[in-house]
Amino acid sequence: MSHPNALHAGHHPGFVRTYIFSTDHKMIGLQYLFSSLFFLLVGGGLALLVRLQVGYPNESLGLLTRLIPGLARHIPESWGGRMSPEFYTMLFTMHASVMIFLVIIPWLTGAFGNFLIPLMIGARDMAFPVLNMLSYWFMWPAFGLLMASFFVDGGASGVGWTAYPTLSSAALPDGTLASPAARHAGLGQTFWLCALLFAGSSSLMGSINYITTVLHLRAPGMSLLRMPLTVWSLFITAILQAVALPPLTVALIMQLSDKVFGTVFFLPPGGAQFGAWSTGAGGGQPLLWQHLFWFYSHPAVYIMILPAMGMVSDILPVFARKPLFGYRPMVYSMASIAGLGFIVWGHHMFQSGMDPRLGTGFMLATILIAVPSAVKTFNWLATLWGSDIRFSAAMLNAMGFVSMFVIGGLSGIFMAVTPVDVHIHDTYFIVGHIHYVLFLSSLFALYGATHFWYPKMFGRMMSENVGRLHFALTFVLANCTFYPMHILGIGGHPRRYYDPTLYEFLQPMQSLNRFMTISAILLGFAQLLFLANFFLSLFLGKRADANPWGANTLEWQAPSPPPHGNFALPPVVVRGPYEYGGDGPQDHQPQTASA
Amino acid sequence: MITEGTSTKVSGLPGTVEIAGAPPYLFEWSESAHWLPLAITGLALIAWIVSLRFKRAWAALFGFTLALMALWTLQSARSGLWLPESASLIADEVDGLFHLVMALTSIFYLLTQGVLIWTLLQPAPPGGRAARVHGNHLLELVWFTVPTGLLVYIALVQLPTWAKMKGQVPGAYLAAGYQPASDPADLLLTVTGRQWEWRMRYHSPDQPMPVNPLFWAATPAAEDIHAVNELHAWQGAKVRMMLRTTDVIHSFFLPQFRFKQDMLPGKTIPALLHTDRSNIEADGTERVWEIACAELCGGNHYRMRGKVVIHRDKKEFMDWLNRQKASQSERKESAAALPTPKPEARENQ
Repeated sequence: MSHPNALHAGHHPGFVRTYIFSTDHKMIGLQYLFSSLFFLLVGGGLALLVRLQVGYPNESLGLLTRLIPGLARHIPESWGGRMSPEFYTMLFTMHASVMIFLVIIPWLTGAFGNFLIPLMIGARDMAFPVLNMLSYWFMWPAFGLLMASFFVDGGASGVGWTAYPTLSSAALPDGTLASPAARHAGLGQTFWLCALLFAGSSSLMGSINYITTVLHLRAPGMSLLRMPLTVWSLFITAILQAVALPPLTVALIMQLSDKVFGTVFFLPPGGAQFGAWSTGAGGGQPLLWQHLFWFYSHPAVYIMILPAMGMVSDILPVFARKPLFGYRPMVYSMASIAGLGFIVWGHHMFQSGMDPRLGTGFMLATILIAVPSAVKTFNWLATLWGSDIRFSAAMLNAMGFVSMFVIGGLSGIFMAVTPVDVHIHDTYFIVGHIHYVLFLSSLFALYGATHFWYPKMFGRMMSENVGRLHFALTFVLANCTFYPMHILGIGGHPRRYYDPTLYEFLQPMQSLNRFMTISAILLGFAQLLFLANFFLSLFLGKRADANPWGANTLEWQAPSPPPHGNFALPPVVVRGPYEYGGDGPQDHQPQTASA
Repeated sequence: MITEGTSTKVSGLPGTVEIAGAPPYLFEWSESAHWLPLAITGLALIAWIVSLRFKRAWAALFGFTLALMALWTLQSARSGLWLPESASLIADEVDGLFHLVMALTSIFYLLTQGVLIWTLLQPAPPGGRAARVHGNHLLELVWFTVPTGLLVYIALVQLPTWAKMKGQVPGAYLAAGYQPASDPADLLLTVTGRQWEWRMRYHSPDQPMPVNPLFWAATPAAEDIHAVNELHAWQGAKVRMMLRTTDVIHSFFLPQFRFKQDMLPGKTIPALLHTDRSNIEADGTERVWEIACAELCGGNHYRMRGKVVIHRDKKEFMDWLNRQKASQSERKESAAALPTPKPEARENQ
């Protein structure tokens, strides 16, 4: 890299230090971005196999077994060319694990967190660059273990991404780590636990780095309430991670210990009986795992949505050419979502056998969390009201986020009504809801953010027309894929069913299941447009200048792409980030004094 | 490709499912399931092409998606692809709550989508520049207060139903835990989940109701009547079920009763089922009410299918129970000749 930079003249790290073991926050961000894009393909492929099975439960996979290497191993002759039910459990487990732990979280907090935080607060790098590098390289054991687990004896984990004991934790005392409970709960599950430990440690390192960076390295004049909402959201997310990850880590170690060393943290006093074989007496409690797991994994839902909210809040004003409506309410509502997010985990457990009185308490907190979400939605709409919208691909994706987040939020209220939740819990309604939050909200925000910050990352623009086409197809097809899930759920269609046609009350839903499968396949292909746009634009994209969108925040004052050290001179911040529109000489006023 | 209306059969294989005759597809999309996504994709493509020339076409895309969802919801409610038949008064209450939330959320959804689509169509601000407005305290207050009020209403209105579902003393839903054992029930049984079936053990109605059902659940008696994958009761009965599992977590799901309860290893969970309606028609035919497992419990999770029979009166139920009892003692006599009685040992774990 030979960027003109007064501060770093003559500083030429070699190839390895620049592109592989880099301590530059921008390169680490890009590393996260590229690995997330790769795993997006893996996770998407797994999802399509899941959909194929649910849509066509009695069909032979035929051609697919020849196209996908290694698949034939899991399609035994005895099943008539169909995948086995155990293989199916593995598919949805690994789809969720890959998407959550290797795509959405690293893409949001790893890629954009790393790339944007120092640039947006006017810092030269993260507070702890080496820790930052370490946090990325801690992801690699997680990548390796999860991918390797597909090939171990018994295959990758098939106990659901929630890994409830005793299905996940039961082990045979013969040293093979095979499980008496399920074929896919053996060595693969052990790998899964280790992978999550690494991914969790990585996130923890990242979060400590982000918190320190935001608190200590802001440019002169960048008060907390002048920070762009992206930084606010990543800061709040980092606090969430720092608090929520330790309990998950403890839970993972406990389950690992149950599996490998035969401890009984999650085995009840009476033990468990599998066929003719009985575990010894236990002394633990499977409910403990659920509490520990959801104490992390509910905040994890906010870890996966808050940065998306922050980035959308930054994209909307730029293309609406209008200030963000209600900056402070936006910050406060994010903080209250994060705070309330810690006392709602029990709403995943209304049917778990937890005391019903606890259910009432968790219900009240859950109902309340809808308030800040509503406040945010109304503020976004007010931002758009009376504005002059520019329909860029980034803007369309951000508006798609606003539109779809409303559905994800409103469907959540059904689940917060405990008597209704009794019926829709563990049905497709839940699957629909989570995909409206994670696919149609988080992923739309990520697509928008990638279009928006691409010129800053690579110095080139992504194709706008291809981006808009990708949005149009994704927006419509994702709704075709995920909206009918709510209807299935209302009808009581349980999730994670290998063959729903076994049940008379599910048979009328099968054509809808097929409709969703076809839509999902088209949706999958539409994502290739985005990937092609992303990779081709690296070489063919139009060159971008420092501030192609006419945006105010600090990163647009640095060259595209910013050199090592980011800013030639430390920026001085004189105003908030959303000064757009109005009657002045320019329709925007950057945060720095000089520009 | 599978064709609609024919039965699918892969004979002699494990997990084989045979759908006899034409499955009753209520949704009239049996064939359209295949071409409709393509048609919708085509419409999205057209919207994109039009948007190259007319930017306001994006409003049409958002509007189209909104219309699609509204149509889906209405069409499926109309065609019966909705909440399953309701089997109890509590289920009716749950449905009422569901529709209340549906109505409130629909209003909010249409409102927000309407505003969003309007912002895509709105005329450019005067002079091409939007006003530099940073917020408005009154508006913030309004859209903080109104949702809060509605949500608090939703929170309060559901409390009595939750209490009833969990068999709590009415009016004491914040203080009472699981239903007290003193609460009288007409029928007592344990349901034990295991990979991959439901084992029912009915308390013999000839015997006095046990003082402590939890104790009874842990100690099978010789007079108990056993059944597999079949839950029987009679219309109007208050059924106390003691839910247990011997291996992993299962979830006992009765869609028609809006009933779902996880079975937790190491714990016996009491639950109360009110059976206000029967699924036996006047001519003696039975409408199928199924039992499903709602918590992943291994590879054959999807095969934990059972059925519920709510007889028209207690006599009909007793007839079934006595038949079950007779066949049970026959089996016991023949099993007595064998060295190890296995099923009982399993029940005791």
